[in-house]
Amino acid sequence: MRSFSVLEADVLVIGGGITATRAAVAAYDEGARVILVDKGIIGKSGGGPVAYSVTAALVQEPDSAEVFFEDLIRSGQGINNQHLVRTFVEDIIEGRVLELERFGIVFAREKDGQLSRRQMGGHSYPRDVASFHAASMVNVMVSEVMRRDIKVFSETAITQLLTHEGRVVGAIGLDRKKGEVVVFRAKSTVMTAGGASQVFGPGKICGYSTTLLEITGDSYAMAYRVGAELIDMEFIQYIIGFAYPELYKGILAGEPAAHNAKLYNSLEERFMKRYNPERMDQSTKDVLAAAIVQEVKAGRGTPHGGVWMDFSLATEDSLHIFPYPFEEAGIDPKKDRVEVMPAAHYHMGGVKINERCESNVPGLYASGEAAGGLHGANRLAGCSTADSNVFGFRSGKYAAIEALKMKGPVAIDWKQAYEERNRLASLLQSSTKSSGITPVSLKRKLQTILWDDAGPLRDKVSMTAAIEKIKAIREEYRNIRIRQDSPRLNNELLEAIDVANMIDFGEMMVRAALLREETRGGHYREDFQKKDDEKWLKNIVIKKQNNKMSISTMPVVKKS
Amino acid sequence: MDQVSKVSVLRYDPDKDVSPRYEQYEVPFSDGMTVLEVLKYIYDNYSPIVFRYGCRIKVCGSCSVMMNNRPVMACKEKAEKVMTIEPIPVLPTIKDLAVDFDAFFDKRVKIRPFIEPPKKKIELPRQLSYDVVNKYRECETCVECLICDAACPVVAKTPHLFAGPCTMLEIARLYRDPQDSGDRIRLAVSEGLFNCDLCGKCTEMCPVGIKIHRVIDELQQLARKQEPMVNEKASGHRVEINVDKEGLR
Repeated sequence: MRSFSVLEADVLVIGGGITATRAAVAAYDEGARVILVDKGIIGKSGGGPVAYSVTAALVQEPDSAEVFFEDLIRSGQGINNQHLVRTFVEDIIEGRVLELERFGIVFAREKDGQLSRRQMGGHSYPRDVASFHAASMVNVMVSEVMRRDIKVFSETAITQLLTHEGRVVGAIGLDRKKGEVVVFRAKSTVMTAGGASQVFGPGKICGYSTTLLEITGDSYAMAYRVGAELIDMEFIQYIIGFAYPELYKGILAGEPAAHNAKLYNSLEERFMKRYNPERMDQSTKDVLAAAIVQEVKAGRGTPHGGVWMDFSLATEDSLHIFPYPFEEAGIDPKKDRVEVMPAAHYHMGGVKINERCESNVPGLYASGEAAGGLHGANRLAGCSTADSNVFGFRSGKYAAIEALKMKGPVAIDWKQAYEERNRLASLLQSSTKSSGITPVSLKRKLQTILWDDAGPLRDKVSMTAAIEKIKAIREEYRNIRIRQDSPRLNNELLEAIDVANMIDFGEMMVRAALLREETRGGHYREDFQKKDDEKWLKNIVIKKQNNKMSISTMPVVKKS
Repeated sequence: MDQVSKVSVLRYDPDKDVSPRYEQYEVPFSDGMTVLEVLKYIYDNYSPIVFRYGCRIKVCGSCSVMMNNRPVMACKEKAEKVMTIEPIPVLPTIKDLAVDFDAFFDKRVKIRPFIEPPKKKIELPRQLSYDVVNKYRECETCVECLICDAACPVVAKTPHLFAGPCTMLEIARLYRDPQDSGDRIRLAVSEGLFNCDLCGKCTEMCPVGIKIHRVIDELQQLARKQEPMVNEKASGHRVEINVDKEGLR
């Protein structure tokens, strides 16, 4: 850990999913030298392996760009950045998603060879296409990365962005396979490692989340630390996941609407009649999530803290659209009821960007789940992968164009690099302490706080307490102790790095959620259960100023 | 819950250990418990063993390990009461149970696993018949967990003469894509297509249920037809392997 290597590129892409690969390929095609750095293994990490369905638009009468635009705004409950939405709609219609077929993906076809299109919840017309296999999209993009001379660093965790005179000039990270610190010097840096769902929990194996293990809010925390503005941090999308068995806690169990499924509490009541008597189990995800948690809280939950979901009316086909682990869990969905609970799925907010994916910090770009503003308060089905394609492409392209305008390598503030290296080294050194808290127990504490106090149900009292508790966790973090001092593939060292990011993310989320005194989309306040358009048709922006979290509101960006 | 599983894990830290060693752990055992849960229990309660996992539902393909000499996906495989757990042998081990997927990446790049530019421009959406799509689909569900390679007796014995079932499956996927203009059959032959004995171990172990050896069989038949000159003889050394006698490994 003492010495470190330095690598140089025009564009540095942080992440390893669809957005990252798309950005890296676009940047390379503009003529830039590209390095892609992924905390996990490229193609096997992030959101890529579970993204099978995508909004490809293919608008035909009576569907149109305007209707699509309106659908997005309605689902985002009016607070989407309309510039981003317009760009998104235009690019998809132009074929940004469909061109994946040129890279070799084959979307599902009907018997006559036409694309099978599906109408997903919240869309006015069928606009989604699906690949046969959950990981197809990312696999195809990884093969496009292989076609090009893009340098890939798998299992290298970026731990901090580097700045020089107010500009992001690359990043420093830990090459976990070698146990070495690496400095990446880059003219443009693209953040694509979005999502933070693993901050909720604590599950024995993973957080209460549909996502993969790596999704710990890294992009938001790192961007925040270099002064980037983050928007809509209070909005989390919850989806229905398994509550039992333990291994599958949080894994997607599907929408009742898609499977014709019914929800029951432990008293055998169809409890949705209390929350939304008209739409019942067909309600949107945010309503279902809040209802389930309220039922459990009122003592009407199942033995493992969920409610029952009855799939007996589901069609055979619908049970195979996603690799649901029914068989592995020993459940026959046609006969047995499944215990389900809300699970964190997607984070709507993120780095505030414009149509060129630029953040307010020069040299820093963000796209995909790492960026915020496009989806507003709630995300439309299929639009995350579409977002990855549209803005992944744009971020790579514009990052490359900017980088290629610059002459010579960028200057580095070595003091920052040394400081970060010392931080990593001292985390590793903590193994020599005689006592301390392990990263995994600290992570579980934090996950419990964020889920219980600021998860699907939030109110002023719980969140005010959560802020104090997060403060205490920050103190406790100083006392962290890992059990192994060898730097190579040290999972505890990585967990310690992750927890620091999760703390920063958690605080941002709670502060924004505390400020927004209303219920909107993925943000459900028990003490303000109504939407308040008069006061809150605006966005909350968080930024680091004078070493403090400064929080403000801004008007919604309207279509010009 | 009084039952225990006696687990022996192959530990190796290249920075410290002279040689790999087995360490024993006792883990509370319950019916239906998976190998992944056992490993996580050891990590949380005994020692920070290094292993990988991601999705828990057989799509990321990063948790493959050898359990009692069988390659398995840890998130799917049920734990046993006596287990020996080792890294899969087809990639270099980095530490404990984690293997170096970069080596896989490098091997993949060699076969040019992307669409070679089609001879004429393709209009989108592509016009594909239902049959073509269905054939393609078979190869596409691969999650690259490398269990087939770890199960393959030819790869175990002569990895330099046969690129392995996983590579063959990828070549078949590209072959089955009508817009690809690469000569995938010749590629398959040069990667050792005819050294596969079609023993079917890959199909038997595949966690996502692809009939891999059938796909390879089809490639072999195509190769015999397309290039009679470039057949068995051209691929050089033929390997004789008696699967029954030598077992899996």
